[in-house]
Amino acid sequence: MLLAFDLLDRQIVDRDGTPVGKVDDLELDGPRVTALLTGQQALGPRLGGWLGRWVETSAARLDVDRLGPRRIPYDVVARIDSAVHLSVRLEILDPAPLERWLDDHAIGRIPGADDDA
Amino acid sequence: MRSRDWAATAVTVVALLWGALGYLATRPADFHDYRTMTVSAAQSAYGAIATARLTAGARADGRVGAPYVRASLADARKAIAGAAKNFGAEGPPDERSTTLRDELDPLLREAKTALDEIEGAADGVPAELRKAAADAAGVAGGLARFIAVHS
Amino acid sequence: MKRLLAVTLGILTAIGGFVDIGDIVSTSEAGARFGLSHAWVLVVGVVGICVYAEMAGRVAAVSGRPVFDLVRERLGPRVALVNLVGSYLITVATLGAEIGGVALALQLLNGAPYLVWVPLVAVVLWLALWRVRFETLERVFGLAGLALIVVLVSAFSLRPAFGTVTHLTPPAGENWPTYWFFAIALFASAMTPYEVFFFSSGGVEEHWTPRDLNVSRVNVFVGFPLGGLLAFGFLATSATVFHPLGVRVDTLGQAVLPAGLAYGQIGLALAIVGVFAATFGAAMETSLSAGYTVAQYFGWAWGKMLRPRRATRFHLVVLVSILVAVAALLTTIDPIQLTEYMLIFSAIALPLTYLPILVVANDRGYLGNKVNGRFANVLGLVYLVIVVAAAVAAIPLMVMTGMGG
Repeated sequence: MLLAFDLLDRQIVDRDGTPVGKVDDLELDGPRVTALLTGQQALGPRLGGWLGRWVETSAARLDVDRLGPRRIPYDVVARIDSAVHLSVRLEILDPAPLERWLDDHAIGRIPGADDDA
Repeated sequence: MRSRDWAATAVTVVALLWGALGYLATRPADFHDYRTMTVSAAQSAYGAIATARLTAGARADGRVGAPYVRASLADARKAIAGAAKNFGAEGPPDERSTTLRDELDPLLREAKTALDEIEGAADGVPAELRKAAADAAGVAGGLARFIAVHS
Repeated sequence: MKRLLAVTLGILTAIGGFVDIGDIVSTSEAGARFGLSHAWVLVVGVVGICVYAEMAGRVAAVSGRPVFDLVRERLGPRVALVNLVGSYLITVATLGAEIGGVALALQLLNGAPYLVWVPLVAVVLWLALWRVRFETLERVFGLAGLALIVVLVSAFSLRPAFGTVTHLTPPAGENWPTYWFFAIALFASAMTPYEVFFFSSGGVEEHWTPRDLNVSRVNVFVGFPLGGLLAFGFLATSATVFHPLGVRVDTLGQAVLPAGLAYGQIGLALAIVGVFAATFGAAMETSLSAGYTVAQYFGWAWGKMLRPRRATRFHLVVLVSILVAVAALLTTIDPIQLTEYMLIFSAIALPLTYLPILVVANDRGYLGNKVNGRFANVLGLVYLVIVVAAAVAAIPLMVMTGMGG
C-alpha cells in the first residue's frame, strides 16, 4: 500500500514528456495496481463531500459514451521518478473528453491553433 | 460529534457578527459620523483642486500634453462630483452638524467653479491657465483649513 | 557570449517585469499619505520575494516542473484545491486590475475614456498570448517597462527629503492602524502570489535545466530588487510632490505627474509608456498564471511552448479568465479601487501560496541535493511568520480603517 501513496497525485507524462494527467485514483486488484485512473471522474470521489460529488457528476455528464474514468493500464508505465513516465504516446491512450471536445469544436477551430508559438 | 460542535460554533460566530454589523449599520447617524463624512468629502475636493492646480501650472509651462490634461481634469471633476454627491446625500443630524454643513457647502461650490475655470482655460494661453490656477488657491486653502480643523 | 546575453536579457526583463499596477498604486498612495516612512516595507517585501522566487526558480530548473505542479503531490488534492481556488480568484482579480491599468495608461496617452480601451486591451492581450512567442513577449515588455526609470530619476531630481526615510511614525493627521494597513498593502504588492507561480512556470517554458540555476538566480537577485527600486520611484515622487501638499493620490494621472514636473512632456510620456508596458506585461503574466495553476492542478498539458491544439484546456482557462476579468471591469468598478481590494485579499492568501513552496523546496525527491540550505530555510520560515501575521491583521485593519480611508 506504500506504493499507492507514492503514486497518487503524481503527474503522468507520456513517452515524449507530454502531460497526460495526474494519478487521480488507482484501480487495484488485491494489493496490485492494475491501472491508473485519471480525470475528473476519478478525482471526484477522492475529494469527498459535496464538492467531490459535483466534480464527479459534472464530468460524467460530459462523458457521452459512458466510458467512465480515463483508464491507463499499469503495464504501459515505464518508470516512476518525480513523475510517472509511460512507454507509449498520448495518442494511444483514451482521450480526455473535454480536451478532445475543445480541440474539435472550440479552441482547435481558432486560426493559429496548429502553430508552434 | 466534532463536526457538529464546529458547525454550532461557526453558526454562533456568524450570528454574532451579523448582529454586530446590523447594529453598526442601523445606528442613527451622529455628529461623529457626519463629521467623518464631511472631512472625507473635503479631502476628495481638496485633492482634486490641488492636483488640478499642479496640472494647470505644468500645462502652462508646457511640461504636460493636452490628452494628459484632459484625462487628469476629468479625474478631478469626477472626484469633486463624488464628494458633492456624498455630501448632499445625508442631512445633518444635529446642530453641530448643521454648522459643519454650512461651512463646507460654499467651499464645495467654489471648488467646482474653480475647476470649471481651470478646465475652460486648459486649451487656452498659458497666462489664462496660470490665472485660473491662482484663482483656485483660495478655495484650496479653505478646504485645507476645514480638513485641519475638523480632522 | 550567448550565455552572457541571455543573462543580461533576463535581468532587463526582470526589472521591467516586476512592477505592476498594485506596486504603482500602493506605493503612490503610501508616499502621498505617509511620505517616505514606508520605504522599509518595500525592502522587506523585496527580500521576501527574492527568497521565495529563488526557491521557485530552483525547483523549476532542477526538477523541470513548476512549483505549483508539485503542490498537489506534496499536500494532497484537497489542500491543493483550496490553494488553487484562492490563488485563482486573486490572480483573476489581479488580471482585472492590470487590464484596468493598461486602459488607464492608454487614456492618459490619448484621452479616449478608459472603458473604451478595456475590451480592446483584452483582445490584444489574448492575441499576443495566442500568437507571440513567450520569449518575445518577455523581452519586449520587460525592456519597455524600463521606461519607468524616469520616475525613479524624477524622484531624485525633485530633491526629496531622504532623511525622512527613518521617520517610521505616521505623520500628523494619520494614525497607526492606517499606517499598518498601508504597510500590509505594500508588502502584499511586493509578494503577489502570481509572481512566483509565473516565474516557476516561465522557467519551465524556457526549458531551464540545472545548468540554468545561475540564470534563475541572477533573474531573481538582480531583477526583483531593481523592480523594487522602480516601485520606490513612485513612493518617493509622491512623497515629494503630494505629501507636502497633503493631497491623496488615487488616480494613475497623479502617480505619473511628478515625471512630467521633473522632465516635461518626454518625462511624462516615458512614465506613461512604462506604466503601460509594466501593466500589460503583468496582464500577460497573470492570465498565463491563471492557466498554469488550473492546468497544473489537474495535470493537463499547459504552456505556450506547446501548440495550442495540444493544450486546449489550458488555453480555455486563459481565455475564460480574461473574459471574467473584463466582465468585472465593465461593471465600471474603479480599477484603482479594484487594485486596493485585490492587494488586501492577496495579503490574506499569501500563507496559502508560500507555505507549499517552502515544503516543496525542501523535498529531496524533486531537488536531490539542491534542496534548501539552512539559510534559505531560516529566511523562508521568518517570512512565513511575517506573511501569516500580515494575513491575520489584514481584515481587522481593513475594517478598522475603512480600507485606509
